[in-house]
Parts: sequence; C-alpha cells; structure tokens
Amino acid sequence: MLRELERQGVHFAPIRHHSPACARAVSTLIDEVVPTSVLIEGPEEYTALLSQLTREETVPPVAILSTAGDSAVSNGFYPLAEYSPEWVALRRAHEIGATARFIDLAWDARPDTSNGTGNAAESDDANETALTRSIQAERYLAHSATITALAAREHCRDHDELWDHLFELRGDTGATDDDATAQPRDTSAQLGAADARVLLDDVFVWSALARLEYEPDVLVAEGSIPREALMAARIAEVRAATTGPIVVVTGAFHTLALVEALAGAPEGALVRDAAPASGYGAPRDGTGEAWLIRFDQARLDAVSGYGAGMPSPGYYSRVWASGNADPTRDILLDVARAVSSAKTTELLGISDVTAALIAARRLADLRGRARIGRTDVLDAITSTFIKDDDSGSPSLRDALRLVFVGDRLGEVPPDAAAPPMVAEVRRRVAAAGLVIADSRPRSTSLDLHRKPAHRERSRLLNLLEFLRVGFATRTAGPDFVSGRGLGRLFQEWTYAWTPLVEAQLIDAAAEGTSLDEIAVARFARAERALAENGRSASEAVALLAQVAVVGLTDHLPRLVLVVGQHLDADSSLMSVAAAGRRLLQLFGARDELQLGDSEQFARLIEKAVAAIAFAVPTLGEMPQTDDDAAVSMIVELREFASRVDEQTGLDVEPVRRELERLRSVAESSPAVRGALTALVAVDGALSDVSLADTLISDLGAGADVDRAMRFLSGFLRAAPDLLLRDPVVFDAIQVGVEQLPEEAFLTYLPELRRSFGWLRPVETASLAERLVGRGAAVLTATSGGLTSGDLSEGIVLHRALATALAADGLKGWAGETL
Amino acid sequence: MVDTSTTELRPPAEVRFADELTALREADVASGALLPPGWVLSPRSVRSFILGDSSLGVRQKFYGNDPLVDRAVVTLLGRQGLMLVGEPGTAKSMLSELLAAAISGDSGLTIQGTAGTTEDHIRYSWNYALLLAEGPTERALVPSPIYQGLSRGRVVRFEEITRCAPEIQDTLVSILSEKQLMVPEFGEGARVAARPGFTMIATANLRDRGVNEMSSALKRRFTFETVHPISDRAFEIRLVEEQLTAELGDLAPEIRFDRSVIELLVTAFAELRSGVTADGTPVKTPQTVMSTAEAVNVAYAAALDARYFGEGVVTPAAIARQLAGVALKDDPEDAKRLRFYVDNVVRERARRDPAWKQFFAAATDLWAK
Repeated sequence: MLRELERQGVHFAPIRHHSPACARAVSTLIDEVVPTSVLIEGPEEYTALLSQLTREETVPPVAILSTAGDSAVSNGFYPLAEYSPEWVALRRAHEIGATARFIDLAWDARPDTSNGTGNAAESDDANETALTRSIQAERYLAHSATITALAAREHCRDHDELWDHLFELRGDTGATDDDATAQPRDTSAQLGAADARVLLDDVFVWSALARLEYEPDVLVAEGSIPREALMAARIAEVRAATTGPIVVVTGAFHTLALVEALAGAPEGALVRDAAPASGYGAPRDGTGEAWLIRFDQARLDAVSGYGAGMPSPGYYSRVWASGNADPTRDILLDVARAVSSAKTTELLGISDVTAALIAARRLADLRGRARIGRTDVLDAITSTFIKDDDSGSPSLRDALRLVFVGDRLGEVPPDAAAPPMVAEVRRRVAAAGLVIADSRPRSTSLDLHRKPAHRERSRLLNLLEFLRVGFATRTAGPDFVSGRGLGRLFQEWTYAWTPLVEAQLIDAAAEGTSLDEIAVARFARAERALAENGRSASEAVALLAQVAVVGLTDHLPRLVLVVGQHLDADSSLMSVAAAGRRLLQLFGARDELQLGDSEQFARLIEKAVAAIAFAVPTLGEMPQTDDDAAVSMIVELREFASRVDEQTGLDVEPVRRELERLRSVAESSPAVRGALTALVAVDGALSDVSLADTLISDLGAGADVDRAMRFLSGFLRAAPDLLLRDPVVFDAIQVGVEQLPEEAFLTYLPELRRSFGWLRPVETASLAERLVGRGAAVLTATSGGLTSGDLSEGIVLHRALATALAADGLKGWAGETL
Repeated sequence: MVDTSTTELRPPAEVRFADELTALREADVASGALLPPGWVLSPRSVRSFILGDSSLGVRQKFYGNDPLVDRAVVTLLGRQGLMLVGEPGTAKSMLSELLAAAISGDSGLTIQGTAGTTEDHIRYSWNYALLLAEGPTERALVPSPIYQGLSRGRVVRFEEITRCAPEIQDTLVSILSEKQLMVPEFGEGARVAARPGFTMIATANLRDRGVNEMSSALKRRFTFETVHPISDRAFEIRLVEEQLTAELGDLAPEIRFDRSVIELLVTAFAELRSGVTADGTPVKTPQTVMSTAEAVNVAYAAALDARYFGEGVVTPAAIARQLAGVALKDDPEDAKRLRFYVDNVVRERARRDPAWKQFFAAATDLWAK
C-alpha cells in the first residue's frame, strides 16, 4: 500500500518525535523527493505560526504553547528541538520553497484525554499538569507488550534503549534487519538515501506492531481515530488540489492508520468512517490560542518523561551536532570537567576519561551496536567514574544532568506575540487592589488579622516574590517562612510593575501557563531536592510554610505527609526543634494564613514533640565545647513545651519526662544537668532538700572540679536569678566556690567569670553586697603606700616620656595610654 | 579427577553447567567469534551464559540487572579488576563464580578473605620439608591462587576482600598494576608474569563491622559495581520458590507450600528491608540484613520444620517461628523493630488475610511481652 501511495506522489515519513535518526531520514527523503507540499502532524492552527518558525531568529529548543479556555488543565506544549524531525521538515521545506502545513486536529477540538479514560495502561501520574503534557504523547511505545518483550530479549533496560539499539545506532550499510546482532561499523557517510528509506520502513513496521495491539474502541477513546480521520482528509485534499510530490511527516503510530485509510483498504474503514459526511471545511485559520515561546532543554526532558519523544535532550543535541562523528569522547570530557570543577575531592582525569571511552566502545561491541549509544555511555560512566560503593556523588549527578539534559534555552524573534500569562498576571494583580498603572514603586501595608482582602493580597505578593519575577519585596512584618517578625501586626510590601517583570514572566512561561502552575512545578522540584538531600524536618517545614503563605492550600495535605515523614526519620535535635517551633508559629497564625484544617498541624506538632522527646537524650552526650548550645537548647525546649501546652493543649509530657530523665542520669553532660536542675528549681518541682543535696554533691567537696564548674555554668546560664532568691542555692554555690583550691580557682577563673556574667548588673551589685555583708570576703580598699607627691612625680615623668618619644619620632611606641 | 556431582555437596559452576558451557563454546566456533586472549568463551557467550539464551538451552542465572553483567564483562576485558560490592545475600559471589567459570573455565582459583589472611595466601608459600631438602625449587613452592592465575592466565577470585587487614590487601596493589609477581627465592629477577587472561574479581560486603577500609591505591585498581537487592517483588517470589525447591532436592515432593506463604515471606522481607510497606507506612529497618538468600533460608528451615516435626505443610506460623532466628542475629534492637512491625503492619493485615492472621498469632506468641 505504501508503494501504491508513493506512486500517487504521497510519501510517508513515519517518525518518532525528537529522534535524530528520523530527522536525518526525513531530511534525506525531502532532498530526494523534492516535494511541493510537506504536511506535518500538529494542530492545524500552527500553520499560521510557520512564518515565525522559519525565521532565522528562531533557534530551538522552542515550543508552541496551546491554551484552550481558562483552565490550565487544557494547556499543552508542542516542543521542537533542533533534531526533531518536524523541525527539520519545516525548515527544509522552507529552504526548497515547498508549502508546509500542519494537518492535525486543532487543539481545542480534541477530546480531553487528560484523565486517561481511554487506556488503563496509561497510568497517568496524578501530578501531571499542563506543564508536562505534550501534544505529541506517545505512550504506546512505553506500554506495548510486544515492545517490552522485545526489549527484554535484547537485554535492553527499557523501550528507549531498544529504540536506540535498533534505530539510532545504525551503521551505514545497505542491508539491515531487525536482528540486533553485529552490524559493520561504518560511521562515515550521511544517512544515504537507501538507508533513509530502510529506516523509515522499519520505523513503520515497528510502530505498526505496537498499534496492532490496541483495540479499536481504545483507539477511539484515546483520541487517535478522529485525528487520523482529519489528517487523512487533509492529505487527500492536498493531493487533489496540487501536483507534485507530497511528504507527510507524522508520528509513526498514525502512519499505518493513514495509509490504510487513504489506500482504501478495508482496515482503514474505521478511520474513513470517522470523518463527517460533509467534510471538514477549510483548515482553521489564524493562530487561535497558540504562542511560540522559548523552551529549555530541561523542560524538553521533563515533557519527554511522559512518553513523548526521546530522553536526554542534551545528549541527542550533541549527537545531532556532531553529524557522523562520535560525540562520546567530548561528552565524557565534559562530564569529567564538570565533576572536577565542583570543587569536591573528586577529581576525574584523562585516565578516567580514556577508561570510560574504552569501556563504552566495548559495551557497544558486546551489545552488538554499530555505534556507541546513550546507555553505553551511561554504563561506562557508572563503571569508571564511580570509584566507590555508592551510586554516584551529587557532583556526578549534577554533571550528568548538565551534559545529558542540558541547560540551553532557545530563541524566538523579539517581536513574537507574548503568551497570555503576562496579561493574566496584570489582571490578577490589579484585581487584588494594587496600583500598576505605571512603573513607579509603591508600598502597601497589610492587616492579615482583620482583613480578608489583605490576606488575599498577601498571598499573591508572596507568590510573586517566591517566583522571583521581581515585582514585590516584603520590607517588614511577619515572615512565616523564616519565622521572623511574627510579633508585628502589619505586613509591609513595596512593589512596581516594570518591563523587567514582564520579561521574567515571559521567560517563566516555559515552565507553565499560570502562576500557580509554575509555583507547583517549583515546589515539586524543591520537594524532590528535599527527598534527595536526606532527612531534614526543619527544611521540610520551611517548604510547608512557603506553600502555606502563597496560598496553595490544596497542596498542603501532601506536604503535611512529607513533613510527617521527615519528623519520623530526622534524628537531629536542632532540626526537629526548629521544625517544632516553626510549626507552632504556623499553627498560631492559622487564621491569617487560612490554613483550613488545623487538625493536621496539631498532629504534626504532636509528632514534633515526639521526635524532640526522642532526640533529647543526645543533649546529655554532647561534648564540652557544645555546652552553651546544649543549655540554650534546653531553655528553648522548655519554652517550646510550655507554649505548645498553652496554645494547643497537646500533651508535652514526653519532652518534660525526657528532660527530667536527662537530669537524673549522672553521666549526662554536667552543664546540661546544671541547667535542668536550675529550671526544675524555678518550677518549684524540687524540694529544698533535694536541691541542696544535688548542689552539694555536684559542687561541694569531693566533686570533680571540672564537672563542678560546668554544672555551675549550666545552672547560672539557665536561671541566674536563683542565686539571689534562693538561700539554699546561695549557700551551696558559696561553699562550692570557696573550697576550690587556689590553683583550680585560677584555672577556672575565666569560666567562672562567664558563668557569673549571666547575672544582670543589678543582680551583680546586690550579690557583691551580700558577699561583703556576710563577711566571707573582705573587700578593703588599700593603697600601696604612695603619697600624692609620688603621684605628681609620676605624672611628670609620664609626660616627659611621651614628649621624648614623640621627639624621636616614636609616637607609635607610645600606644594609647601615653 | 573431577568428582561427579552426586558425591560433592556443591560442585563448582563449571561442573554444574558443563553442558551449557560446551554448547556455548561450540556456538562460538561455529560463528567464528573472536576470543579475547586467554578466554575460553567470547564476551557475548559469557554474557549469554549468565543472562540466558533459550536457543542454546542456557538458563538465566542472574536476575534483575542485565546492564550490570554487561559492565562486568567489559571491565574484565580491560586492565582493571572487578569489585562487586553490595549487601550480603545479593548474589555477588555467585556472579563472581559464574564469570570465572565462563571466562576461564575454572572458578576454583579463589582466595577467601578473612582476618587471618596472610601474604602467603596471596603470593606463595613453601613446603618446608622440601624447602629444607631441596632448597627453593619449583617443587617446593606452594603457589597461591593468584600465582596460579598469573602463570596460567586465569580469573582469580578474592572473596570478602575487605575482611583482610589493609596491609595484606595492599599486597595486591603492585601485583595488579604490574601484572607480575616477583619470586626472589628463585634467583635474580625471577618473576611470574601474567599470561593473557589473568584478571581479578573481588567481592566486598561493605555492611559488616570489622571491615577494613580499602586504601585508595587499591580502589583505583578496581572498577566498582554495586549489586542491589532484587526490587521486583513478583520476581523475588518466583526466585525464592525456585531456590527452595532446588535446596530441598529429594525432599521437595514430600513438602507442600502454598504460594501465598512464600508471598507473605517475601513481602515481610521486602518491607523490612526497604523500610516502607506497600502502602507507604514507614517501618523501622532491622540492622540485620534481610536479603533474598536469608528469605530462602527461612523458607528452607520452615520446610524442614514442617517435614520432620509437622505435617509436611509449610504454614505462616512456621515462617514466623523461623523468622525469629533471623531477627535476633545482630542487634538486640532488632527484636524491638520486628515487634513494631508485627504490632503495626501485621496486625492490620491479619484482619483481612487468613495467612497473615496465622503469622500474627504465632509472632505475638513468640515476641509479645
């Protein structure tokens, strides 16, 4: 049938989206056939954007953003890389003067398959948003049972590797078959005409195999049939209306259907019958809601992750750019360089790169491939660059991301129309009551407690600040993310709508079509980073706070779960205590932030309390250098516990119990015990007798001097005023200090000085009085037997010395006293 | 000279799979494949030996990570040694044995690393009677596996290399870089130079205490490959079943075990190993290694229990009883963690599933205090 249609001048190029091999084949085909029309799979309304697409200033990666209605759910991207067959096709067509057209169903006319109604095997990720929804979805490749079985047989880890194995890595020979045993290695020529045809034929067979697994009703529900019906009709129209060859570039999944429909085959009835009897009318004119925007490789990779084209855009970009030369060596060099420049102790040198290159070649040989493939390179890197038992350091992962995913951003002509998000944001900001008639900076003061409209405004401003579009900054007032300024009543902001803001929004359009979408994507990234970096409850809560202040309350339940997980696993007291504090703050501000179900926060605080209780024993084991930190933490924890008790009524007994246990364990750090003893005495929970006993045993005769000093230091730090208010304490400390041997006293004098420094000046004064009054220490002002005559002599000498030094030009020797 | 398999408890791989190796060798000859110097099979045949090739009747022996095998074979083609690291019970030693059997036809040149490994085990030692009688002659020398590997061009295996003292490990550094062993006792400049085909596969279990850190000079001589535990549950269940049947051997027909019991065992192990249940509830992971091999041991013990003390049916209760032996191996805290698992996860499941209910009943009897 294919040949018959070719005789009629209709040449099909079945492709896989973003496949360099297919792009080369399409280019060769166009050169050979010299068509007058090139028809491409893509929503019809994109034809009007061709003039922009073919301009010099447009450099991939770019994408066409389709919006339909207000819901972000119905937006989609049509990405184009420099090695996408569609891109190559439309540019080549332009170069040879052929007419290019997009012939697929318009975006807003497509049935909404975003809920995965058609194919149960499509297991849509619940978090898939328009951010990652590609208009070129090719899930069939990932889910075809035939292809999965073939991948297993060829020892390929997934369908992407199998594709590379069978199609991308072909050498240049005349004879190819799908049997993946050794092919002669010849990377010399461009994909020759014969090879191009063979490749396209093989791709056709490949996808036909996958397509034949789908039942007709699944194909209808999934939306393919109506699209193919339109495409077939358009092809027929063009055939009827023009002379000269036609090249049709579509995803290979559809090619079989189109061929059957156009050739009049009985299997094509399903598609033919789907066309309306009266025909489709003229193609959609005008761009409708389609915008050409810059795209970046990272976004391209994210979109490809959902089954629309090849992974690792950075890698394939290099493959494309290097033509027939092998890009492996340069790729390895770049990865090694990126790792070495990360300034960790990891250094990868020439020997490592050489070893990796040899390993990659050998792997390709072992697997029967004519060229080195993506997985061969990755495996070689795994073998040779990772020198230990782990799965690669963060710097290697970053390097791989940099090289394999890439960070290039495409270009669009400067006068291309801007996406609607800019207008949308302006509207939203104006609706919130902010003045943006001009770009003058203004300020606003928000009363979060009493005015709902202000809360709304605060959320919007927080969102814009989080997205860093440069519109607004908070200058004062409560910041729930960092936990500062919570005592203030009003939040102060300054803002201005400048051209910079517009530019940032246009740039950000690559990430999503609405502010909320972009924020969600960034939060998802932050969550992933959180998961990778190991357990940190405080960081998790910071993320939670951030989500809360921007008002994305739908995402709170999930983050509450994440925070819960972190609290369960985080063993660092500092982190957990910080998390607990922040959670309490959030709980306290639940009305201002409109957190909705505060129950879940209460549960989290409970978990925090449990986690803190679990981690408290570590305080007892901290070394001497951390005494200060430990004691501060104790004071803080006590305060935290009482505030939790006050504000939420939750049970904080576990923490109090653990602190008590810490106090009673004799091996605990003495500073910690001292602090706890003081606090317990303040609470009145310790009887005078026990207090006296404790103090005597820890400070009195027979106590280890070092431990005693630390105990005292902790004690005074925690509750300095006890010294003066409680005679028992006074006596005990008096005894303790008195019976220090002279040497020890001098050694520990600095320590003592610091401990007593916790007293306020007033307290120090009254302490001094009491000591003197008791007669235990006699402070006498003595003079050393000098008369006033001696004094004046001294002054004269002093001045003479100063003058003499100055006269000799040695003023510098004089110092400040002279 | 080689004993037949009925008399040995566990014949080496090259004997167990002799017919497969022959088939692969013949296929190599027929296809004219290129053999690397010193290898008895081509690299692709080595790969087929391990990953299976139904057309030649070769069974798959290593599961779950085909690219790992590829990388291992490629590493052994080069100058560096192969270091297989991972938790206990991930089939590192098995892979090492298979690779040696396939590449050199001999998996017996093995050094077992222990705290008592000395330089003699690594280089050579002497038959002191002959030494005294004849002086240092070839006859008096007792060659180590490495010596033999060097002189014959074979794969040498070093199991549990990290259990040796670092000074002993470092003896390997110069052997591996210079690919020769000096034997001064034989005269000036006497040495054993490596014949093509000499390479080393080491395994290391980096989990245990008492494991010595490897020097970086030695690390550089090896390419590291981490062998992970099996993550595919369905696959693990099948594997445990097969291994259990194989271990039981003649007893197999007399013992009945239902698939649901194996499933229960594998699920419990997988959840304790990974620290999270299928529904996402976190569980505390025990210190002791919950590997697939350990699961097979538990199943085997339960099977024997059923055969000799029971009615020949393996029940979840038997599994619970044997599990205690695993749990109390290492850390006394493990008993607590297991109890946590039983109290929370198993209790929940026991409400809905009869097998889990039995398991729960037996477990609470044993551990509930």
